[in-house]
This record gives sequence, C-alpha cells and structure tokens, in this order.
Amino acid sequence: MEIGLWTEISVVIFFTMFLFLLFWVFRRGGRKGYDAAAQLPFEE
Amino acid sequence: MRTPDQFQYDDKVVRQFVIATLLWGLIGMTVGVVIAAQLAYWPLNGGISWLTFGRLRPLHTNAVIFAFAGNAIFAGIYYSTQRLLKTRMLSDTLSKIHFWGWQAIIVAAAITLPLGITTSKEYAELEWPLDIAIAAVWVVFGVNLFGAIAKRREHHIYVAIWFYIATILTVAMLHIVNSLAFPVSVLKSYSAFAGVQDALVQWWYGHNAVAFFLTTPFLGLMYYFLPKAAERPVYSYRLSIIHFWSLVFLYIWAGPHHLLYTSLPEWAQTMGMVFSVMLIAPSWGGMINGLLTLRGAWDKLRTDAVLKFFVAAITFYGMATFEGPMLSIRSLNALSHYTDWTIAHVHGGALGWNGFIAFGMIYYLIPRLWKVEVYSKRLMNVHFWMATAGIVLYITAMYTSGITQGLMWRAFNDDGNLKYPDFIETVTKLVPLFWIRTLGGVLYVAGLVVMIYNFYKTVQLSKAQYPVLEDTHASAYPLTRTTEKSDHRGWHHVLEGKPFVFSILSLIAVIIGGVAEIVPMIAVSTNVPSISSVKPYSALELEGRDIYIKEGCYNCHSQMVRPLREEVVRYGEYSKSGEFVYDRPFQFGSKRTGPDLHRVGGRYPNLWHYRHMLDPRSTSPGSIMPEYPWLYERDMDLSLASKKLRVMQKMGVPYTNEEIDNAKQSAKTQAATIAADLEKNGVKMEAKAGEKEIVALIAYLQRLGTDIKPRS
Repeated sequence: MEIGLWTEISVVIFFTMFLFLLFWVFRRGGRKGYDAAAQLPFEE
Repeated sequence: MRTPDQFQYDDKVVRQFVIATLLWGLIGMTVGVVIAAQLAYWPLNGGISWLTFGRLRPLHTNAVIFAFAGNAIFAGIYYSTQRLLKTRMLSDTLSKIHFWGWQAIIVAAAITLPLGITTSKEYAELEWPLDIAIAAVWVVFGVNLFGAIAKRREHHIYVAIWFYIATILTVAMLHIVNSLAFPVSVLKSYSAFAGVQDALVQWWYGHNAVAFFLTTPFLGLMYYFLPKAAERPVYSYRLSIIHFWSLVFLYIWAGPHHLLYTSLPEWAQTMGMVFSVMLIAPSWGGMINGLLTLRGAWDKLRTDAVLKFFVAAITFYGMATFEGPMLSIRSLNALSHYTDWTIAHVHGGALGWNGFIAFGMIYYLIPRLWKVEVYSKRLMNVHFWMATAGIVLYITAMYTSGITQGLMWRAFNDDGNLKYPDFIETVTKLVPLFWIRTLGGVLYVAGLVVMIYNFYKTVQLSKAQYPVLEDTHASAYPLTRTTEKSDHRGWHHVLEGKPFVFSILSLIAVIIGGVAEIVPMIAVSTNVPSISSVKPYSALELEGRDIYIKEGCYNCHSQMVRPLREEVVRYGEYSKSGEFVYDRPFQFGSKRTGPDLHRVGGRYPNLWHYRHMLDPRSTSPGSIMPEYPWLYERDMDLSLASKKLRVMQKMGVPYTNEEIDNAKQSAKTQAATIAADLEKNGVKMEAKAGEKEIVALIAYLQRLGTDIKPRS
C-alpha cells in the first residue's frame, strides 16, 4: 500500500481514538437518558 | 390546567411525494436500462441526437438521484419530521411550492438534458437558470423544515432530524459553490473554476452529493422508519451521536478520491484518500446501529417485507462504505479508476441502499397514508427477491467487467509492449457482461413495476373505502418556557434542545473540510504550476469543445493521462495540471468506455476523425460508439463566438480584444483550413460543409494535448 509514514501514523491515531471513544461511551451507567431519547419515534 | 393542542399532520404532501417517487423511479431506472442496452448493442442509440448514450446518461443520473431519491427523501422527511416534532410543517403553501417546484425542475431537466443543454459537471449538469430554481426550491424546503422545528411541541430533536438539518445546510453549500458560473446565454455558461481547481470543486460537490443527498437523509430515514417498523428503539442513541458528528465532519474531505493519480497535487489526493479510509468508522457505526436495532427481533424478517428491504439496504450500505474506502486507496484505485468497478460500487450503493430504503419506507407508509393494508404482501416479497437478484446480477457483471478492463489496460508482454495495444480489444471483451448488467437492471425495474401495480391496487381499495383521505389527527402539549433540568446525559442532550446552535455547529463541521482543501488549491499558485506553452483555445476550438460537452463525450472518454507506465505507453506523456488552466469546465472524465483523449491531438489525421464520428466502426471495427450524423448536417452556431471569448476573458483567460472581435471570422478561417484538408483527402465537401459542427469538433480534438511537446 502506497502510503507515507505520517499518513500511517494519523490513520492509526484516528482509529485508536475512535475505538477509545466507543469504549468510553459504552462505560457503565448513564443509559437512562439515552434510552428515553430513543423512544421519541414511539410517542406519536 | 394545561390542555393539549389539537392539530393535524399534512399527509397529502407526503402522498404526493410518494407518488412522484414511484413515477420518477420508473422513468429514471428505465432510462438506465436503455443506456445499459445501448452499451451492449450500439444501434439502440437510434441515430437520433437526443437518444444517444451521451445525452441520456446524465438524464438517468439526475432522474434517479434527484427525482427518485429526492422525492423519496422529501416524502420520508415530511412524514417523520412532523411526527417527531409533534407539529404540522410551517406552511402548507411552502409544502406545495416545494413539491410542485421540484417536479417542475425535474421536467425541465428531462427536456434540457437530452437536448444537450448541459454543464457537463456530473450530478450538476443543469444549466444556470435551473440551478437558481433548485436553490430557490431548496430554500423553500429549508424554511419549511426549520419553521417546523421552531414551532415544535417536542423539546429534543431526535437523531433523524440532525441528519435532515445537516442535509439541508450542506446541500445548499455544495450546490451554490459548485454551480458558480458565468452565463453566456440563457442556455449556456462557463464554470467559474478552471482545470484541476474545477475538478476539485466538482468532486468536493460530487462526493458530497453522495454523502449529503444519498447518505445522510437516508440515514435519517433509517433512524426513524427502522425502529418504527421493527417496533424497537434504535440500538444505541449514544452511538448515533458519535456516528453523526464524525460522519458529517469526515465525509466532506473525501472528494479527492475521485482524482487519484490525476494532476491534482499529491497532498490533496492523500488527504482525500486518508479521510476516505477513516470514513469506514462512522459509516459502519451507522450500519451497526441499524442492524443491531433488530436484536431479538430477527424472526420478523421472515414475514415482514418492509424489514427485509431495510436490512438488505443497511447491508448494502455496509458493503458500499467498506468498498468505497478501499477503492480510495491509491494502489487499488490505479486498477479500478475509469473502469466498471466504479459503476458496480455506485449501483450496489444506489440500488441496494437508496432504492431499498425508499421501497421499504414506501411500503411502510402506504397503509398509514391510504388507511388500508397493502393489496398483496406476497407481491412485496416478490419485489424484494426480484430486486435483490437484479442487483446481484448487475454488480457481479460490473465487477467482472471492471477488473477485466483494469487488468487488460495494464497488461504487458514479456518484450515490454502493451499486450492489448488497441483499446477496442478491451471493449469487445466486455459486451457479454453489458448484456448481463442490462438483465440485472431489467429485473430491478420489473420489481418496481410489481410495486407500482401493488400500489395501484391498494389505492383502488383505499378509494373504495375512503373517498376522501383526512390528514392524521394528533394532540400534544405546547412547549413551555421552563428550563429542563439537566441530567446525566450532559452537553449533547442540552444541544439537542437548541436546534439553532446545533445547525451552526453542523455547518461549521461541514465547512472545514472544503476550506482546507479548496482554499489552498485556489490561493496557492504553486499548486498549479503554469506552463508557458499552454495557450487558450481558439474560437473554433472552443466551439468544438462546447459541442463535445453537448454530445456528452465525457461520459465515455476521459482526458487525463495518469503517471502510470501503462498509460504513458498507451496514450503519451502524462497530463500536467498546467495544461488545463483554460478548461472551463474541466473535462477529466470519470469513465473510459472509450479511450482517453487527452493526447489525441495530432495522433490521427482530420479524415480519420471525420470518418470516425460518422461511422465509428469504419475506423474502429467492433466499436460500440454511437454515430453522429447530425454533426454533418447542422451549421456551427457562431453567433455567440465573441461573447464566449469575452466571458472567458472576464474570468482571466488572456484573450485579446482583437481576438474577441474577430472570433467569428477567425473560426470560419480555421474551419476552411480543415475543410480544405478534408477535401484534399477525398471527402466530398458540399457548399458550406466547412461550417458544419463536425469541423469545429475536429478542430478541438486536434488541439488536445498539443500544448506541450512530447519527451523525445
């Protein structure tokens, strides 16, 4: 794959950040408010 | 004591958009089948100017994107927005103007595009008066939607509406910037950008037309209609927050992946490539959120055709959003660019994702809007399987075709020569695959015909029971001014209650990528190194260029020799950005059904071109190119010759005033030279034959790529 070193580094950093963000978001606790927001389509 | 407001949702406009979706879907996709058949069997071009592939392909793309997908988006947005915000749209009058205005633009496109009235910029082919109309109707739509948000009875904006907001703002930005042009007449304009800068703006627009017209609004529809159909909330609202912001921010940067190995500066290409790869993450976030919404409800798929369409749609979305980033990597793109692999990718996404979301959504809406069950659930399933089979046939044919093309173009013998030096050899091999693709398209359209029949029968049943269809009644408490207590969800929860701030932040997110890529391309002159030998087109050559654009030659021919060994050996010196500084609009092309033309100037005598356009098979046996007999009958229209040069001069092209004043005469003089050469070589030139359009086209083609001298 033709890709420079800085490009490789930035792609790795990005995906690492994204995975970290996903794990942080799905940490224990705090689902209630989100679950309430997801119910909006059913409140017609 | 508070009493709830009683109001009604506007269902009529949704019904209108649904009907328009089905009608334009049938027309747009049928045109697609016609042009597919034309590639398989060239006589279907019919020898009629407004029926050639080059004239019809833009009609197909505009019809399926803006007429089919566009009306589907509006149907879904109008239905879901009202219910999510517990309010009718801001104004019934605006809804009517939006609906009828959009259909009027589509009809105008259906007339102007086959007539060759086109800018040649893909998915932005409509000329400037229609661009203004599009902007006006879009503003009406935006006012109607933001007005509904302003008078909503639900404090928090659900995720679907974030996507609608991003769509409205970003499409406005993209359309306005990419449509910037200087008019020559009511039916003709020249792009405000030139050459490689025009290419970057075009593909910033083009890729983000995919992102913000074919992806974000459909994701919004997914976030509403999938939970409703599955009767389960979206898997993760938190994931939708990350998915939304990362998607709208990253997508904008991906445009340069359409220009890999072109003369676009390498830094811009790399940016497009890297951001395209990063785009896998938010795209798959959306896919995961959609598919996992069905956790514990997968058994419903067996019996529910709506869910079949939605799940298949999301699967095709996942496929396309993995494939796209892979195709954006330079080394893979070197094989795939200009081939049918791109066509396979597009149609997997368009037929699979957009088409299936639209169909599933409409099947969901029909009982709710027409108050009766769909006439036949069996036919819904028949539609699903026909359409799926159609897509699979289509894309496997095009994958095979694309990879075949790519490999044949780059194949070398052991002695270092091209294994297939004649481009035509790489075309004739593909014809059986073009037939299979046509069959795939026929199946897909046939599925739509089944849907329309089912819809028609359902409406008959509805009319019998409900001669007048009332809007849905609803009641909800108006919003109060008391501040909601903040809860553990924090700042995004607060932001969802502030749509104005949300909109500004969305706009900032989508502006950044465009500014980062486009501003340096325009402001930093070293990005487009000038070449002193490059001169503007003569009046006759410019006329020929406009004929090239009118006939849609760019739909099959590229003008960009990439710095790859196989291209340099086949076509000549690779293309430099400085060669295109006077090209308004650029003509890089995005597909090679025929060979690249950037170095065709001087390669063949005038007589070859004269014969080739009249009967391509006389010079290239086995060619699938249409015939262009009208170019030999129609006189060149030189009435605007001076005006064209003057408009170009205003945009910085160094024509002198003398050249502008003498444009018509110099065009006739140059044409006479070509006509004399043709006569010398045995062509019987009747009176005024030297003033026919073919002569102008030959002049343009003979000019291509001759500004720089080939390396010895």
